[in-house]
Amino acid sequence: MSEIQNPQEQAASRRGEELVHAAMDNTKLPESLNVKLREIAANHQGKVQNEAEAKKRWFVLGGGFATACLVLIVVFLSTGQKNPSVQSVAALANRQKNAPAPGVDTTNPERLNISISGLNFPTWENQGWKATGTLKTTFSGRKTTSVIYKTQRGDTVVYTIVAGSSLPVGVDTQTVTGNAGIQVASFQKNGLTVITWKRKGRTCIVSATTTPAVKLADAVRTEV
Amino acid sequence: MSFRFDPERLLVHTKRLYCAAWSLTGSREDAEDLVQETYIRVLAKPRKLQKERELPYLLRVLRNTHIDTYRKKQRRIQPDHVGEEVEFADERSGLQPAKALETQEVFTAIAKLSDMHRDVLVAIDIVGLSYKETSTLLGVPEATVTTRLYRARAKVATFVEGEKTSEK
Repeated sequence: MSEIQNPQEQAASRRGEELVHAAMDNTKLPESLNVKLREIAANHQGKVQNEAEAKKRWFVLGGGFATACLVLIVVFLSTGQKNPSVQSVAALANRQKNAPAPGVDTTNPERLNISISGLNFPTWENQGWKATGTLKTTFSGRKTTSVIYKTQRGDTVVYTIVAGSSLPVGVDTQTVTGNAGIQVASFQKNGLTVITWKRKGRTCIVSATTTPAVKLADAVRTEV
Repeated sequence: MSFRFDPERLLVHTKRLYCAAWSLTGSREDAEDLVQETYIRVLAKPRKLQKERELPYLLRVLRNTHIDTYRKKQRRIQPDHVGEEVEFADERSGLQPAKALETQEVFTAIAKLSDMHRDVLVAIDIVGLSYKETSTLLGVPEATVTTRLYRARAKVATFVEGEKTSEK
């Protein structure tokens, strides 16, 4: 600090400060620099705007993609996991048996030795029909058991019981009343005559190719 | 919350940065390039301006850019180039030749200072930082800043007056 006390250096320092400030005052910015800096600033603004627009585009695209994924998930869930309708299960009538015909229940000769959800099937010998096979499958996550019968006229009748809660019935149905006064819902599906009703909260479906709905409704009078 | 930065706002500091750049490079042309490069670097990462005061940050980027770019070139104004520079400076600045000469001499003198003296003088006398800001920027105590500034100013006066004496 002793040098700072030197009067000559003090004077030089003051003079130096004045010189620097005077040089600052006398300096004018080159116009070319001003122009160039404004160009840089403008370019930056443009770049920022472009980036913002690009981000926005990506956001929109991403949003669209997410929406599409959501729609696909919803569609998958609605088609893949939702309960099947009675109409869709009725298509089972076209499928082949995957097990032989069940035997007769030893405790009840009018019933077959096969059940689902505690519900068994009739022999339907009183109708002149004969069980020819069984079809056990899962339909849209719901277990179903069907017994395939052959009528005397050669028609195939399929009796299906769906495990779990009852299935919705489509709107294009009509009510059919059998000779015994039993009322069931009926509709046509893929050339099949289908009747459906609920038995202890389970959906039951009987389909046939040529057997009329009224006859089917008569047959199921013991199943209601 | 998004940070919206207006690059035009930086332009109010251009004169100080230009003088600082001139002091660092000793050349007006190099100073222009240095200021442009500094702005480009700053605008590439404008968020850093949000965290720091503008001027200290600008000076820091200017110094770093100078170190990266211009020091490597080891381009220093040679004494025999000064006359040409001044004539050119006069044409563009519109100053009186004597004032332009003196201005050029001052910045040349600053450019000739040692790094530690020049950095302090540029930060305080040219850019206008406080002693505390300069201390933080350069990483030295404020007392050291004071001493270096005092000597830097004295050396500038000695250089300029020495040039005048030698011209006579």
